[in-house]
Amino acid sequence: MKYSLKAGSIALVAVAFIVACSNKPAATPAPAPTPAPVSTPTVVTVEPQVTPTPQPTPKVEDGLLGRTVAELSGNLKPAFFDYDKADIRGDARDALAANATWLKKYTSVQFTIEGHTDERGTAQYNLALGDRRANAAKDYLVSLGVDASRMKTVSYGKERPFATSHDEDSWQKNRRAHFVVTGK
Amino acid sequence: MKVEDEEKISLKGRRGEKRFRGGSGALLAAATLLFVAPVLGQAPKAPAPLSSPSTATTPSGFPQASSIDLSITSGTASRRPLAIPMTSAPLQTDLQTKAVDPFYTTLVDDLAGSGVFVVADPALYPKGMRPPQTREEGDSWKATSAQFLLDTHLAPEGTNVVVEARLWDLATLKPILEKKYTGEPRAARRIAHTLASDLVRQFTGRPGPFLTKLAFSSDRDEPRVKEIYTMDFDGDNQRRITNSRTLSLAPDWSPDGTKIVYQSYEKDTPGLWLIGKDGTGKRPIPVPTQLNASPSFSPDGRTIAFCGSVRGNTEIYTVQTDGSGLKRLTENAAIDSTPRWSPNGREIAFTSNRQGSPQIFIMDLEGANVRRVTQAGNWNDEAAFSPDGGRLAFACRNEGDFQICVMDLASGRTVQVSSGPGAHEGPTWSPDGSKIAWEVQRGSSTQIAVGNADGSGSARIVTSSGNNYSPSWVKTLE
Repeated sequence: MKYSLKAGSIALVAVAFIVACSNKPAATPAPAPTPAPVSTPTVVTVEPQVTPTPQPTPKVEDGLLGRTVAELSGNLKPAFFDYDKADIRGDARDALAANATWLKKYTSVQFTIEGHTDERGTAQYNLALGDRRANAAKDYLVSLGVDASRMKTVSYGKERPFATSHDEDSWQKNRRAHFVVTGK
Repeated sequence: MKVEDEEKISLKGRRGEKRFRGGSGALLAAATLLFVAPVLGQAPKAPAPLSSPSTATTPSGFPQASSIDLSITSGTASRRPLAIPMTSAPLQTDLQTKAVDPFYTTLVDDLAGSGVFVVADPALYPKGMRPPQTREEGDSWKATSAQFLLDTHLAPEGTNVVVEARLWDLATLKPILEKKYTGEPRAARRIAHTLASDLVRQFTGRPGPFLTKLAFSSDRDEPRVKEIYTMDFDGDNQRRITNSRTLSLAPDWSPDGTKIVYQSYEKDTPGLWLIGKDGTGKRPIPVPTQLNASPSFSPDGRTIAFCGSVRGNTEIYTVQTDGSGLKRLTENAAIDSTPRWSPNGREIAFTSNRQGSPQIFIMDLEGANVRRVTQAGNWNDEAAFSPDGGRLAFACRNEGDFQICVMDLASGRTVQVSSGPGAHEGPTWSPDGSKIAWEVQRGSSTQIAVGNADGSGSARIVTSSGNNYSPSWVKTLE
């Protein structure tokens, strides 16, 4: 297999790569989202209309009115990872499925996926690992039907931790793909 | 303290006088205070030793190894026992605190850590007898275990200070080195570095690394921001050279010491940047890849190796400094990261987890002849070739935290050169191969340590302001 700099190969190939390079036979992420109930985005409850219409009308986008991108970022859940891994595990699949549902509802939203790691491991290697995690999350979202042109990825490695204690609880919080809404 | 008669020390200055301007302005004096402050919970008296494995310590606080493999520094003989009595000077409080004390402390620190000398205990020094005039006076000095005596004198001359130095052989009672230096008082430390370097050259044929600089990344300016800094090898003279207001990471010097390549998140996405060592001439190196981490200058200064990503797959690339000639060297679905160029320019070391855990590999510039060089441990990373190419320093880990290891590439023999608690990462060699600097994280503080490449003595923390990362030692001695 060969990567070229220009070719836009489909996301599933990249997902397959990630799985392939793991030593353990990790569970292949199912492309089809589970129809499990998704926690309701808070943005909907605040707006006057409780049941948004399914059509992509301005009314749906109204759900974004009066909201800063920072507030909107709170509607997107982080996907967490195992140590030194970029495989999409079960809880991350659920989080990404919820994100995909919200993102397909608000199709004007642009966002960045940040890849983060815990503090163990070297700074430079962790930048590569964070890049891999961000792209794994991106590929999974694309497989769920979210347009790749809406998202960017960036790796922060261990440069910008969410929790600063030196224990597994903090480390798990920091091993994540983190979503930041950049436009609406 | 005896004040020498200046007429008496009529130095021949056989290598000429050197004049010092003391760098650019008052920054130097201010920066001096920065690194002296204690860090990492050490006792409030810098320098703080990183560890204390059965070593002797001079009154200056600079620890020494009780034994040392001299082949690394000098290639011959053993360390020379040297007495360095306090620099004599006219009795002026201002002169003493601003010039004499910084000069003497720096001189002793440099020479004690040089690997070329061992400094005799000053508590044993006889009073006066400088220079030793008679056999009896010479024997008084030899009783301190010294074979050589370094006699220094500092005096004001107009707005400058003049330092005269003479190295006496206590066996023959003859001076074997005579030097005279002139500079502004604030250049006292630089004069001491120059003298120390000249003394090392006298015995090894090449200057010591005491006038060389390091670049590093620091978060001291504002939260979530890291800027590139430079400093003297002992932590003095720290200066910020970037104003990116974002993450600027992983500096590496150009071979001629005029430029620094680094990774920065300016324009929101990480890219490769070049900047002059004085902070001028900043420009990006345009590349189509993402991530763009760990830049490493080729020995001819024309090409940068770096870790680039395409859709989450990181590979090792090379690119000309103008962004042309992009070339991918690795092709592997695993993580490939952290390239470092070999001094002969024909190979690149890098980290890959292609065989499971992250390990260090070496390949040629075609990406061929890939061989794994680290076998032991569950994580080996951040390789750095010694200036002669014969050794590889890297962050090594089996259990617990990273330490710094050095491998002899011919034999594969590996020794751990750091010790003590904390995560030790990111080694870089001094241009003479005698020392290694790295970053050590203890708790929430990360600072830069400098130690001997053979692991002798204790490493010394040289930064204290904010957190400091990713040291890169300049690659030329002068």
